[in-house]
Amino acid sequence: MNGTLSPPVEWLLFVVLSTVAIGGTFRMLRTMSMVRSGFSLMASFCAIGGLFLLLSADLLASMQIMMYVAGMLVMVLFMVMVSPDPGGSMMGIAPPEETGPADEYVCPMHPDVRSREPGQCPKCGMALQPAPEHHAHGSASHVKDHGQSAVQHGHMSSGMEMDMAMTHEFTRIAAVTGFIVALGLLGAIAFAPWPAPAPIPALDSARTIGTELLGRYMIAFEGAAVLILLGMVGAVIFARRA
Amino acid sequence: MSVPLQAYLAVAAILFGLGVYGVLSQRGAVMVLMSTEVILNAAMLNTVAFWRYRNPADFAGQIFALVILTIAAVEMAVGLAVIVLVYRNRSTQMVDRVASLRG
Amino acid sequence: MDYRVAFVVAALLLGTTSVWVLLASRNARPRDKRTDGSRQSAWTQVDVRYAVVALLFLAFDMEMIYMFPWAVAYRQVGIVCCDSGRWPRVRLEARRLRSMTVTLANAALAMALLVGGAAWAAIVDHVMRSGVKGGSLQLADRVRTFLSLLFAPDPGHQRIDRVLFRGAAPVAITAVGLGAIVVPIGDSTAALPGPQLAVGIFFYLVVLDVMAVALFMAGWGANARPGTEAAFLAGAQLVSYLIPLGFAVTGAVMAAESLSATTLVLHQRVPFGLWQPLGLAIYLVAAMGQTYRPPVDLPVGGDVDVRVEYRGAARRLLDGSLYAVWFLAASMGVLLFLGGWRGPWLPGQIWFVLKTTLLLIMMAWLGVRFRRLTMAQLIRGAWLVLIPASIFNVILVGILMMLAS
Repeated sequence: MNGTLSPPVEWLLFVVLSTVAIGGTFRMLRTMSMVRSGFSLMASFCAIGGLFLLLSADLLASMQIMMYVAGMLVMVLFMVMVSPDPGGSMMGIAPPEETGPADEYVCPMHPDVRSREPGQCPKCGMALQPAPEHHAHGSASHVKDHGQSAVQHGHMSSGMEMDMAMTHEFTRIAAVTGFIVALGLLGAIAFAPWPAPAPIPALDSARTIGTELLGRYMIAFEGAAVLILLGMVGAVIFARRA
Repeated sequence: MSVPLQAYLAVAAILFGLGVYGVLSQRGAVMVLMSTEVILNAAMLNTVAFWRYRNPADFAGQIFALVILTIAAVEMAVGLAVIVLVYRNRSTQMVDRVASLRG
Repeated sequence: MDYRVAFVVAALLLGTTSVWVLLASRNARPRDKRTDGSRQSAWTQVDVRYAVVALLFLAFDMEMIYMFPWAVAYRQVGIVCCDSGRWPRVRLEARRLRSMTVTLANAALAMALLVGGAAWAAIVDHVMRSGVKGGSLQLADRVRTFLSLLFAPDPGHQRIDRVLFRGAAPVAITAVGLGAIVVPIGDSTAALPGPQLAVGIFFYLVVLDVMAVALFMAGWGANARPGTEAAFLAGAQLVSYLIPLGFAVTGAVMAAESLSATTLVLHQRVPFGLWQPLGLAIYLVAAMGQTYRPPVDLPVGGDVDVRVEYRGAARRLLDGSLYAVWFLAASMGVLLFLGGWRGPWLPGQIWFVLKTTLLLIMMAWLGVRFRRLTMAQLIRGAWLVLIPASIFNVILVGILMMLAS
């Protein structure tokens, strides 16, 4: 299952995957839309999974992709929940006023019935009317449901005086630090002697990992079990305490 | 295996640097959490690459990567729980607004 | 040449085709270049438990990941690693085929499964919904509408998040196509690199993950309230049904000691479903949840639908990928629990199609029979019934295997 890729194919895959991995992380840090940044990071982690596959760690690659696709989706859900502006529109990317006033129609009786075209409400049959202010359509009906989001909405309507920057004032120091760290590591990589790849025995990696986990590396298995249990307990305690 | 070990290590180093930058520069707690995940992933990539090039017959490297993956997952779960808790009490998730974790 | 090349070929084919179809159907309406609209959160009917469950899901997801290597090694090491060697290890090695043609054949088979499976699943669904009588006539009608709508312009409005909105359908199609690479449909295809892949079943679970992400992208990218709400429902279904699905699959993996689809089938002289009926039942219900079939089709059913803003080609691609993933789930159920292509008298491929159709009909019947669940019912049902039952099933299978050895 390995080592059979021809060199050009392997290099091509490597370059593409590492570009996606690095580019995805970069996008994650640069974009204003938190949802997009979550999805960029998901792409980046999937590409790292692809690199694992290239290194013949097929089980680990699937685990990585499985874990991070689900994990990042949950992360995005939470981002939407706690961020005042998950779509990034308040950062001036797309002023909502630009769109025409009547590109959305709403039933006067059922505010949740909305349509792109004028027509009749499927629930009561009344004619749909142009939505007065479609920008607020997500939050308008939202406010009356949750007290806590009323606060959030208040922040929103107070608009630009709220401090919305994604990064704080130490950005330059952070960039320099990150750059120095990466440069140092790259230097170490360039000047150290590295081994040539060893041929890999044909293994069923799932079985090998399972056997090792329950044999020599039992301590890792049990440690992981305890860790996951702690994670479950901790998550439930924190998230339930209101 | 025509791609040398250094290439993988270089990718991991760049990811690590980006992760450090993210942890230090981002204000949103979720973004900080995600940058931490990047750092952990860089470490995982290194581990797997070393496994492949040093001693592929011994699966210790992969198992170590698996442990890192577990830590990353648990960190994500607990971190998000803390963020939810802080958000409920303070209505913000910006880390510099939350100097103490006392609810 | 190995399965990785098949993956790349299939991904390239699917990605470019779907993007091409999307581009061909794009109309020339001017579009705002920088659209990334604001949607305040649609957490209207979402309670605190969603958050708790989502966090628990992260931990359980990791736990499930650990289950698979454990399940593969279970016979070898027993529960407390002292019971090795008593159970006779079945040594089954199908021939391995390696060449460029074989790899391409694998990719082609996956394409055929993707397209043919989606069409077949759509037919089964339609027939079950409308009753057998008169169904064929309407069916021809529907096919015509389908084809005519495929190249209809889609009315992109200005506030969509273009990357996510456009990306959803290609992501979904590509994911399902890659998952289809590991499906063997008969003796002759069992030796292909994909079905032999040592972690095949795992890839299938990954595909289900990615489907949920694609639906979330579609709903969120559309930037309309029904879409956004449906996106959250897609997340809810993922955090509810992936875990029981994984645990149900674990039972079969324990018995076969392998994650490769071919090896799983070769081990089933007696189909696993016969002595793991609980596992099969949980698998079917959870697979319905993960492939968004009624009555657990919250993100794609009714008024709240991730596809609400989609018209034309993108809509058809999403519909098609939903049918294809349903077919994939049914065929995986056959491989895991019903002995795959094995059966007396008839050729393997026929058995495979028959069994898959049987599972499709069973799932479609459940959809006709029961009303759509609410989100609270869905989460509660999964976490209070399905997940405990699936863990019990894993223990039960372990005990049965110990008794039999």
